Amino acid sequence: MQFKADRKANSVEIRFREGIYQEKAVDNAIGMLEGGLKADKSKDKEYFVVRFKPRGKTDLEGLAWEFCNLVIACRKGAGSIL
Amino acid sequence: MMKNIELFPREGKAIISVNPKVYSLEVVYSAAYVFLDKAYFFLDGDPEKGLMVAMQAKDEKISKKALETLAKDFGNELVNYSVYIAQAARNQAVREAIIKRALATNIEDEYCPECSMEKEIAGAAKKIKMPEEDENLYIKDPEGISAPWVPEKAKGLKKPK
Repeated sequence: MQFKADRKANSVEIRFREGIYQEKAVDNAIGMLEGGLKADKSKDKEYFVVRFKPRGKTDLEGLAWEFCNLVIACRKGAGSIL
Repeated sequence: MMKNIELFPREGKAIISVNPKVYSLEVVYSAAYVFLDKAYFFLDGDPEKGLMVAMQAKDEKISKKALETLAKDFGNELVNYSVYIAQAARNQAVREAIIKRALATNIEDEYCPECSMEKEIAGAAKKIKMPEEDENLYIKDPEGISAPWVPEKAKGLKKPK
C-alpha cells in the first residue's frame, strides 16, 4: 500500500503513480481541501508524493483514503470522456 | 475464489487485479467513480502491465460476503463501461453527423425551409409597386365607414329592444 502514516509526527504520505493519476487531478484535489488542512506535493521518480500534516489527532489512514477518492472524483472533471 | 480478487475481510479491504489490455484506465476510473459512495479506491501498479485496485469498504463492519459482492460488482461495472466505450466508438460517426446537422441549422447558406420561405416573401414584397408620396391616396368612402364614430351620431336613432 502506498500510504505511510506516521502517528508520532501526525502525518501521512500518499504516493500516486504518475502514469495512473493525472497531476492536474491531484492538484485540483489539493486545491479543494478545506478546514485548514494543507498538503505538500513533491515528485519522487514515477510518483507524486502528497504529504498531510493535520492539526490535532486524526484518523490518518481515513484521511488518506478520503483524499484518494477525491482525486478520482477530480479526475472525472479533468478531461475524462466517460 | 476468483484469482483476480483478493479479500481481506478483517480490514474490509479487497485488492482487484485488472489487466489494462482488457480494461483501459479510463474504464477503471469510471467504474471506481460509481462506487465512491460505498468504498475508497486507490489505484497502483503498472499502467502497461497490470493495474491494482485497492478497495476499502466504507462500512467498517462489512461481512466477507458483502465485501466479495462489492468487488464483483466493481468487476461488472468494468464490463459495463467497456461496452459503453465500444458502443460509443461504433456510434461515433452517427453522433457526429447529428451534432453537425444540429449546428448547421443556424447557418443561413445551408438548406433551411423556414429561411427560404422568408427570403421568398421578402423578394415578393420588393416586387410590389408602392405609390409615390405625391399620388392621391384618397379612397372613396360613400358610406362614411372610415369616419370615427361619435355619440352625437346616435342622436335620433332608435335603441334596439
